[in-house]
Amino acid sequence: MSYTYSLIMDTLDPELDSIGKSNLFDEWKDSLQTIVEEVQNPSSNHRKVLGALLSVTRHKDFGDFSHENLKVLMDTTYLLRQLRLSTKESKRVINNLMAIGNDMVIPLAPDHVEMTDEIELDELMKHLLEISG
Amino acid sequence: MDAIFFDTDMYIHRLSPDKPVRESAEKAFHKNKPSAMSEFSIVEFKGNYIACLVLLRRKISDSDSLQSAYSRIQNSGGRKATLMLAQLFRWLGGIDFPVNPWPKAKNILLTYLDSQIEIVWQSFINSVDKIERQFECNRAREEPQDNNGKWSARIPRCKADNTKCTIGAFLLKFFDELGNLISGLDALPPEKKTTELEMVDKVAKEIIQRNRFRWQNSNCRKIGDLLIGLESKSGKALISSNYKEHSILSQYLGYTFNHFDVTAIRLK
Repeated sequence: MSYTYSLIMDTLDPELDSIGKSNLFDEWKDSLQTIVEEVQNPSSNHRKVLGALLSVTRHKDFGDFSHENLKVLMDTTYLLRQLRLSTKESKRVINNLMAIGNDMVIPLAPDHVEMTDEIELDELMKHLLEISG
Repeated sequence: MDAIFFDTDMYIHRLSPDKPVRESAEKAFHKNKPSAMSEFSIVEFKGNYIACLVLLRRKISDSDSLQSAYSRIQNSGGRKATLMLAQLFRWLGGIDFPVNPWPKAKNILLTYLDSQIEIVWQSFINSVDKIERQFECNRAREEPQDNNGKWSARIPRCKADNTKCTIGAFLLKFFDELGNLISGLDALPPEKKTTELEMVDKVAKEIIQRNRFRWQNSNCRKIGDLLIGLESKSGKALISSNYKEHSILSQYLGYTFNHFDVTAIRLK
């Protein structure tokens, strides 16, 4: 986590050029993804914050965030270093992230799914089940 | 109050994977200000969308493989829950989602589900300018509970020791409207009387006869449309895609119903 934090912190280094910053930002995103995949049994508050960070940065690049918003991402990453993260704190940081990213909600409503879409979703599940062995 | 009320289904349309429906619902929320929502929508949303997310979270967490998670979700959550799971996979990359090895895939899924329960709940509560609380529903004050990943979206049965709401007094304030509604529903052709309207009719008759509402257990959940319709009377109108019930209820209870026509949006 310290390494991940150093990546986002360095992204804000004024002496770096934009290419360097952009690469660090992508490395920070990769690092978050690795933590999500590899760390066993994190607390659910850590998970919520990690998921919120992945959602707010999904399909986004360094240039999509203002300096202030990058600081929000940095402060959130800093909090993840704590061994204990309270529910109150995780709610607060998720609200901060929601304020900078307006599309963090994943559209998963199963009501009124059209027939063609249902067939497509069934095919997808079938494929994933097959390759999962 | 000059607020426009939004029915529970309107926020659910904002979560629709169907882009035109989702965008139209979002537009409705942005266009109609000030906005409000009945406190009862909170109970409905928790018992519906959030409960489904919690089910996915539990089954994935307890499964040793994708096959096991999928069949358990299918067996306990039915079609609705399996569609939700498939949509989550599609959003996470579709066929490119790394389902192997399962422990890694599981960690990714749990991370998104834990954060979504929190994000969607906050987003739902903040989706309107005001939550109308005319009957101070206790159940509407209860958030989904997270005990380190053991989520609960349980809606307890209402009993004397956990309920101090004023639903009885609230419904009795609309004695005349309920009388009108009973006459209207009695005259309604049987094919127009949905199961929900039949339940509303039964409860309204009981209120009129006994001069009280039996709020114990989960009786309110049988008449959600009635409660939302009556709370919406304090605003300018109620927006809902639920035409079958609100086109009838609004007529006799005296509120303006604005139909959010999903079929028409899809045909555009």
